[in-house]
Amino acid sequence: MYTAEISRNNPALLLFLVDCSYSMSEKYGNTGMSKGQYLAQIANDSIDQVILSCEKGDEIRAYFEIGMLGYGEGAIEILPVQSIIDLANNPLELGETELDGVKIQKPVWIKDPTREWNTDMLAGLEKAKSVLTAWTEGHKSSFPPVLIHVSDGQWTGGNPIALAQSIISDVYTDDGAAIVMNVHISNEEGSPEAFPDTEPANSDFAKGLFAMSSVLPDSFLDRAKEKYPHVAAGARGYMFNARPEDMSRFFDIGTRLKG
Amino acid sequence: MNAAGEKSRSVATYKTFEAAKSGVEEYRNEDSIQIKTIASNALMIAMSDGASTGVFSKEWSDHITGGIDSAWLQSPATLERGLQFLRESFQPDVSRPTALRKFLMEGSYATLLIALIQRSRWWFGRLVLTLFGIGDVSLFIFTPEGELEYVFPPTVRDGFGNTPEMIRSSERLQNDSPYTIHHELHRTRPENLIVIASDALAEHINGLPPAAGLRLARQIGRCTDDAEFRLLVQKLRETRGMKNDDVTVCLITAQPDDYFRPASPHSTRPEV
Repeated sequence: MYTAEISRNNPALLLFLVDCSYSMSEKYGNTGMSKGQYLAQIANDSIDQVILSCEKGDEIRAYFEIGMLGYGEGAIEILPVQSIIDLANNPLELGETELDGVKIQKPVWIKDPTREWNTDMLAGLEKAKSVLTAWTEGHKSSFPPVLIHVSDGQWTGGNPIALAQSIISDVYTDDGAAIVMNVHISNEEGSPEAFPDTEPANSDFAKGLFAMSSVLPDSFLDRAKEKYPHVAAGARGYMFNARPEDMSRFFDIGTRLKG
Repeated sequence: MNAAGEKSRSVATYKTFEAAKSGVEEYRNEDSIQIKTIASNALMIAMSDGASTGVFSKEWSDHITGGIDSAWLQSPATLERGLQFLRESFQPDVSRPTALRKFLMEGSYATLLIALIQRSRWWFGRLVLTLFGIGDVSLFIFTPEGELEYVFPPTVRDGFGNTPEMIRSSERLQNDSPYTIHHELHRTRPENLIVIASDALAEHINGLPPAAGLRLARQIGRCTDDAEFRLLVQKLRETRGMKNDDVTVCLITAQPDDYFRPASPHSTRPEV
């Protein structure tokens, strides 16, 4: 399980699901940005890294498909699922930066997604499950899809825990079940809890997100250990109270499927 | 397979085989090997393993092995000066924006082993190996009795890690990831078999009992072409758990004792 070669014939899917509720407009740590702006920056950097991992010099190889959903009043499609080649060729805009005296383009695909008052996480997960299910039906021999969910607070509306667990149990390829990872971004005091293997004692919300998270497969576990040496077998793809640097690490662990 | 060594009057004959990583369509082997016969019939073998996660890896490993000059093999310092020249002269086609970004941000990187094989000036028939290594391309010497006489570089004697040291295509990136140039001299008997292999096969050989390692090396040597070698590699991957990665191997044996006249037949001076 979780050993399928990621290739052009068998691409992998990375699906982001993000909280678009109003509270994401709060300032985030010492970044000078709101949570939504910082999320957009990390997501853009992560997509860029995935594209670069597919860049072989002579071409970009379609090893990945990427999409992004959000939720507020209901489910929102921020970035439809598409090939990494289409993403690379069609950024929303191109910024510019300089490296070794050479000007290089810095693409942007996502801007601050904050826009809604409510936090209908259940609707977001329902949409995510339908997208993941449709994708796996056409990619049975691929590496299982990875869902990275970013939230900063409690949900409104229906309880999403059982639905998230059903993604882990019901959506799969021949290589294993879909991997659901949850990151709770926060400005609260206290240390982040990264990839715990036992239910956190912090709050019911933390317990809920822990219950919604997959047990990390070995390859993810190894990457998590690189950043958080305490991580043990049985760890869940969950992070509580994540600071900006933790969100960046979490995205790296969840998206670095090649190399 | 390349048996060109038998046509030349070099100190040793060699065979090389290669097999690309399997399971990925249109994949190309990013290892590179260059073999040159140089002055005094010495044989210089350079094998480099380009990292598949990097960009222009094949171009970089080809650039390294093709650019090595035997004059650089005086010391690690002289080799490093040569490698710096190779970094500065490496100019892949970075016309596409993503290729340029990746090249500037991550560069190309590869491991390297260089073996300069010469006839001993003082010990008739013996071979003297001058070795330089960065990373985990490895050299093994087996005796005919199935003993493992020697392994290079010294770091692989204790096993293979997942992150070998690499030669980076940019000085800035290299400064962030420094490496050690391993350098040793070794003298060996002409009847011994020298095996140079990129890391997947080297790690497999390293894990075998020496006699089994020699049997495998001889089995490789009996392959008549790359197609036959690829079948053997596939079998090793499927039944012996060998890592699925590019494989390049070079088997080297000394020319018969009477092939060369001794350089100093009456000398009794010890070799320095």
